[in-house]
Amino acid sequence: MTPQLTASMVITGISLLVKNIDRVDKILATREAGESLPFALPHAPIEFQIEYHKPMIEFFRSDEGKLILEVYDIADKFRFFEDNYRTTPFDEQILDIRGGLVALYFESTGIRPKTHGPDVSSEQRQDSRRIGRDRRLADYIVESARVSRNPVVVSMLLLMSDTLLEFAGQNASIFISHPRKRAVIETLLNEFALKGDWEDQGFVSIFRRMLGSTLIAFGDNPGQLEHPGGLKVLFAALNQLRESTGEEEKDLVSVIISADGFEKLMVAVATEAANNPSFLTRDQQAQDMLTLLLKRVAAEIPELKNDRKALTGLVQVSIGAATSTAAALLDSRAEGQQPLITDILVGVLRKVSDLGQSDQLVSQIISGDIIGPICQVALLAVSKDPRRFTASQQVADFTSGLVTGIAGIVGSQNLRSIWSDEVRRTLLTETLSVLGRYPGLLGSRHEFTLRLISSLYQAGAGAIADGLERRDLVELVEAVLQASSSNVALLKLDHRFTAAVESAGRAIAAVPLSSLIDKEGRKRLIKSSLQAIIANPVVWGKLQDNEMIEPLIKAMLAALTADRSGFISGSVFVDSAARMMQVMSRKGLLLFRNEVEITSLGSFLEMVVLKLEAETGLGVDGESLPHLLERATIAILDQPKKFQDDPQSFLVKMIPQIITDVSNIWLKV
Amino acid sequence: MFQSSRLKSVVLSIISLVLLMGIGCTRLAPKSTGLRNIHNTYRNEFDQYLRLGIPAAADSREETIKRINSASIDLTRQAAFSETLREIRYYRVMHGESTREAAHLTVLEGMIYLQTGQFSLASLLVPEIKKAEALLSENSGSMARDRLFAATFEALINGWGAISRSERRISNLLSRSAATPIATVPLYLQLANASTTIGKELETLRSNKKVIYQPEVDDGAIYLATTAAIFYLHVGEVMLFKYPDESMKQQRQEEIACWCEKGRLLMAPFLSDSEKRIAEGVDSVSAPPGRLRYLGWYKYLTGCAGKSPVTTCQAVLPSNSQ
Repeated sequence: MTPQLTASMVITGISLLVKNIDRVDKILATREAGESLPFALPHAPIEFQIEYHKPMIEFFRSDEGKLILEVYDIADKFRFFEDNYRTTPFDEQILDIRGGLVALYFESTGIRPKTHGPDVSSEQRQDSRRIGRDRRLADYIVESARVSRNPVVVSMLLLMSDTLLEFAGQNASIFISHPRKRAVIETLLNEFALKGDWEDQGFVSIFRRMLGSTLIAFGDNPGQLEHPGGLKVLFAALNQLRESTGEEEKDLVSVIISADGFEKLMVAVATEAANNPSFLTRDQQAQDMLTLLLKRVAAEIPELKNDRKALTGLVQVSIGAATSTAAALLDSRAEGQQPLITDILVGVLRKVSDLGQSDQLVSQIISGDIIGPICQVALLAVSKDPRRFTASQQVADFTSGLVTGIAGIVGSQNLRSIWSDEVRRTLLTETLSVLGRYPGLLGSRHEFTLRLISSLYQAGAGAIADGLERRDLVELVEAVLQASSSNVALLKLDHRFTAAVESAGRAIAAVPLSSLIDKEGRKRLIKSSLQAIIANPVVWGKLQDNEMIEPLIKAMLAALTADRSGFISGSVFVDSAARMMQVMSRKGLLLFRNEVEITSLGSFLEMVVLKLEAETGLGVDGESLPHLLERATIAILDQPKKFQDDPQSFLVKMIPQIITDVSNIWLKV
Repeated sequence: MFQSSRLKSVVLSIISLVLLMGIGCTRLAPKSTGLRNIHNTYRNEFDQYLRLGIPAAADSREETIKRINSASIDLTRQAAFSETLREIRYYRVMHGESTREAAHLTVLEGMIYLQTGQFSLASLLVPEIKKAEALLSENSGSMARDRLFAATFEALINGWGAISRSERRISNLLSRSAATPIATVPLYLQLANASTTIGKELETLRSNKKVIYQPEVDDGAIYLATTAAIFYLHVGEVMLFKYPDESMKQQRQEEIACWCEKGRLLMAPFLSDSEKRIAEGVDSVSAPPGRLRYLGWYKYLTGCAGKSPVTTCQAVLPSNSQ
């Protein structure tokens, strides 16, 4: 598609051309001066091997040799050479005579002397004569860097034209005629190009890359350019970094803009700013923060340069933080003059780097594009109450604990042995995404929250062999976090909650259930146990204190497996287990008050299951069974002594009663 | 910065101009067109020079003997690049001598004289080359090819000149021409000094970070380093004369290995790691044709230097030879 030209544009163009022709010719001439040209190397010396020396002397002592010496009138010189070459080998006369003798010797004997240097076979030389001029000359080309003393404006215009043509092709002029796209180019010019040194080849390369990335990023997405404030922050910060005196800082700019995700970063930054109008008033602060952050990264964590995805993630998160509710972090300070946000992010990165150096498995997961989400979580955790950070050590301890906790989420031996690094990376990324939706659990409770998730995954690991998948684990996390975020009692349970979750997970894993329930059922079972715990943390906390959760759940599940007919399976199994655990939530303290032993409970439930199995079709079906087991569990909790004194009588009385009770309920319904 | 329509128009005009330049417009852009013509002429004449198998350009073993005693080659050398030189003079008349482009052409002229063995003319050009070096300087201080050539021009004259004078002396000896007066400084010492000077200049510039362009961008430094390495080889061959007997094979090997290593060390900083791997045969990825000859030399020097090279060899004065 050709650019749309109007007559006035053409005339303007021509007049500008004529007005500027001298300057342009000069620029083009300077460019031409930097063209590659062929230059020969000096030729190499002949390799005169020692094996020739004695034969050469003997040759010139022979009749044939003497004749040649006479012809060239150097017989006396040969004698002089023989008398003196050992004592004054570097005398110029000796060197001259030797050179002459060598040339004559080779010519007379037909020996082809070898020359020092790489071989060029006669075949290659033949070939070179058959090919064209440019190909022949290619072997002699000496390239030159382009040297330029163009005025800034002209250099800039030339480069922009080149780049526009390269990246936008025939749509170049259409690109810059679009108001939003033009605005972002102007932002780039104002924040970067106009402040640059156009004599510096490094700067020119960087600008070209940035312009090209801008064209790629927004060529088809002008909608994201509603407000270029975010890009202004990015461009200005990169320019400030580039102008630093330190080499590490300048290198960091090149690394960031050459990263694969740089275009995506630009789009993300533009979108963040566009979605948050308050950013309009904070862009200078954001720019200063970003510049400072990157300078600190360059100085304190130079190895991060090797992880481009981590860098772009960091930039995106920090600009995003400035545009969001975490903007308060721009104002907060721990110690000194630096914004808390930079202390937090540098602390996180430093800990990530330290962990990565000491644990290779961690470094393979906690790297690349996971760094951005980790930084995001860190900022969310702090943003709830940034004022509690008043000392640098506090910040360091916090970031260290946070990163260690996050690494621990997927670091358990169970998960390592089941899933590859790649799967665990994805799991962690998804988990962090879920975590980001519950900022309330990240403030002062972040340690508890991370341990909880870790315990959950530990608990779930045992079920992975039965088909539990990664997304199932993430769903469980979501469910638990959702429940936890509004349950103060649960949060007060703290480490006991995580221990309770682990105990439940171990219990479920210990009982062989694969023939009775599928993967989905397994997931529902784990979920039910968590819901039961969440429903009454006080009870389960006490059960955990007495290390009763695991044997209790094991006993309940084992009792269900006593059914030989296979009737208690699938959803019947899961519903039954869920109802029994809910009973524990409501009446679990009766285990203590009435001194119910778990082994008795287990035996009782087993007997109940067998009895109910016999009554199947006589008032017992799949729908009623869970309710019946629920009532049976209540019965044993209420009157354990009666069962212990006379189990058979207890059962004989209880079973028909609960069948009738449940039937009556349904009849009423 | 610009009004939108103005920016658009300027960019369009630049785009148009770039296209126009591509098809050649003497009226619109006389300087750049003139320069481009000179370069084309130079390339053509270089190609002719190659095809005649004339010394420096040919690099062939077969021609090496011929050059020792062929007087006709001198005449051919002097006639070579005549059209290029004529166009350079015309450019100066038309566009002046105090521009960067003119400076570039001065350096090109000097390099033509070197390659064609016209060292007197090259020496006469030294003051102009110095002026050219100043004109070629960039604000950033970086050294591109032409400026590097200008900075080491005198050393290049000395080195190329020493090789040429040595050959002329032999040629005169065999043609019964009048003997050339003994040089104040032996020719092999001139070569050694030229190499050392070039090496020091390159090292000084390189140690000042980013003064010399990266190898991927500019070949000036590697070209000079290779030239200096070849000069060292000439010196090494002469130093072998200390060991005239077959029983001294071991010492001969060590001597030449030392000079090869000195040359290799000059080249090494200006080859990228991947190029060194290609030269050592570790990687089979190909390099651009122009770089291949440097890789070839580097490989040769590496092999010649052997496994445990030293760099303590010195060019001995004639009086110290006993």
